[in-house]
Amino acid sequence: MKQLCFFLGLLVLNIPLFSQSLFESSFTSGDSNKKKFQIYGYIRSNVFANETDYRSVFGETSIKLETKSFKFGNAFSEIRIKQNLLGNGLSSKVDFREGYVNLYLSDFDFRIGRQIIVWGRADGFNPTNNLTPQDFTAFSPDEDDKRLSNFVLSCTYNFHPYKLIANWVPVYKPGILPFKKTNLPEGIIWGANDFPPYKLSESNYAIKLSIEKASFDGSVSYFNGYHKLPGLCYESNDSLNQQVYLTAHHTQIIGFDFSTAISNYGLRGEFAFSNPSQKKAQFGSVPKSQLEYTIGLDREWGNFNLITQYIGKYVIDFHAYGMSANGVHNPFTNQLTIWNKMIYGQQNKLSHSISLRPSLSLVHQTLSCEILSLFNITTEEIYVKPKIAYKLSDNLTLSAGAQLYQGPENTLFDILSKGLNAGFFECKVFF
Amino acid sequence: MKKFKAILIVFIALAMVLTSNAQSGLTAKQIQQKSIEVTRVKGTEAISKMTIINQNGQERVRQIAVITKLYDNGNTEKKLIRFSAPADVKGVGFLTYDYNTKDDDKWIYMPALRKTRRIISSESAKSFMGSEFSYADMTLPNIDEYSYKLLGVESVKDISCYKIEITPINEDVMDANGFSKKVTFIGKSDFVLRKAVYYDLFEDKEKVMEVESIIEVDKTSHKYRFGKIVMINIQNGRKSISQIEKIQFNPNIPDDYFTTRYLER
Repeated sequence: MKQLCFFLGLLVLNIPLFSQSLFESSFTSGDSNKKKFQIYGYIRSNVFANETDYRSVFGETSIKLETKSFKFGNAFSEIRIKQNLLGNGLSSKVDFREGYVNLYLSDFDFRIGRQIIVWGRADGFNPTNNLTPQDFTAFSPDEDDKRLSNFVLSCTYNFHPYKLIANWVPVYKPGILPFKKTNLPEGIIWGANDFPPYKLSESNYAIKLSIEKASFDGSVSYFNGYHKLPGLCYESNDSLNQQVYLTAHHTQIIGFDFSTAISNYGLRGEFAFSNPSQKKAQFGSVPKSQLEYTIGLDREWGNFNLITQYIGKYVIDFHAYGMSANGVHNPFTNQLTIWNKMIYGQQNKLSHSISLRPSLSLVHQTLSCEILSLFNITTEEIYVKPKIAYKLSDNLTLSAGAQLYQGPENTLFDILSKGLNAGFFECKVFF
Repeated sequence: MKKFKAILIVFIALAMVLTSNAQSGLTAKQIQQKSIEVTRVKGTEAISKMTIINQNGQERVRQIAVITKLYDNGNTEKKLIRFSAPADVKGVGFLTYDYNTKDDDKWIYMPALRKTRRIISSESAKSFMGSEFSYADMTLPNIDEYSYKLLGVESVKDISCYKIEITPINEDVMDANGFSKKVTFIGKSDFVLRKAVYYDLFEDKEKVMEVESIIEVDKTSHKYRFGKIVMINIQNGRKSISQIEKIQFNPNIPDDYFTTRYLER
């Protein structure tokens, strides 16, 4: 209800001071002298299915509301109404995806409200991107739909060519893992989450200093707070009262990223060192300190574009064998330890992955073909997402493709393959 | 009296010849240089419409806001382009630092990515947002990357123009810009481009660009923008029209506008 009130509040927002700049006046609508806000969005229908079953069938409406730029900023909101057609009965869900106010005060820019923040200059695999979580179970042709929003107070101080960004996240919001739907052994249930309380002292914050020069962009960043990926914990008071629950761990992450051009190639890199505060935890629910690095090249040949990346990870103080903390061999807690290692990608001391994203634009940029792929050389996990999209008109796009995970037993992609492998078709109308 | 008239006629004829010699004294490269100079405006804000029409007559319309400003004594033009319609490209923005003598620096902001991304500038031949205009058409050419030949004088819509053949100096430039040669028609009186004929990499005629209106944006320095340009691809029957709906001369656009800060707004 509160979300709906916020949305309606934006609708009736009466902002007296509109900017005079011709360029700025065009931001929200073509002839903005009359309009104070603009509504746009899309309606789409999606089908995800494998060889035998439907995985997800849904219709979704996205309504975006954006106010015109006024003297000190503007506001934006997006609501998504989704109806799933599978399962017992029709289930509808209203998602207040984003809703924030931008304030521009001299060299300071503020964005306050529910928002999605993406950090990192690498393509898709960003170890410095730790502020807002992801939903690993989402069915969508669009990778952005896996991103989840959270309430963030963001402040940017601009002193060109530098930017100093400070973000404060008062309430912890975890990512959605694929384990919740996993069948637990008999007698074990999912318990209440063990997440940080709503206290000021438990909030997350991050700062980033960016430099943007003509030939080089880069930034250093620091995150202090609870990691967006929760771990799995286990509690057993007696044989009749055993439960698994999600828990969050506190960590500090120092990051660095850059992008530049060398001849006809784009060169990008991203590095992050994360150091969890808690050094010991049951069943690996808190990961070890680690160093993550992504380095990539991209190049265009006419309408063909290729992005290649090497993605590596080095786990400090790595222990290969996952055993219960009390040293007792318990098949389920051992499994839990393996799951936690999967979540944090810490199955090995060193791991190496390659990502490739070839894309081709045809028929005057109305037909686009892309294959997003990731191959973890160390764990032999593979993810491939081919996608073809055709714009029948400016308003109507048809997409088809597949999302395919594959991995050996006891790997994350093996689990994901069981729930998410599917071909898909989407019909999307923009308005 | 007859003698006076004869002297006057001779004098006028002599003056015309001298004027003609003075004009023809310009080399093709100098004419091209002047043609570039007259479109180098200190700063502009504009709202434009780009209409893309396919061979079946179906139209796609893009609404664009553009700001430009000159830096480094006019040797660098910074440009920010932002799409405000249709919905599927709304918010997409390009930031370009267009240098005279080296490769441009370019960034793109796509709302779906939620971040600005540096893009490589070697593929200027690529279509600009699916139109018949290429990225090369959207930026000023590096004059030393081409050779120039004055083919004569020819009228375009009753305007006397220099006819110049422009050829890339090597295959790399040819591939990067997507044409083997270009014949341009530049107004003799104002040095504003009126028409260009593009030949593809196989030297076949591919596109014809016609400037249907020009706007004198800076009346003091006599600087111009193309009010309406029509690009017709004679090989595939497609047509793209770029038309300025509103434009303001503004040399005092804040430098901040040409940063990713404004690109992402």
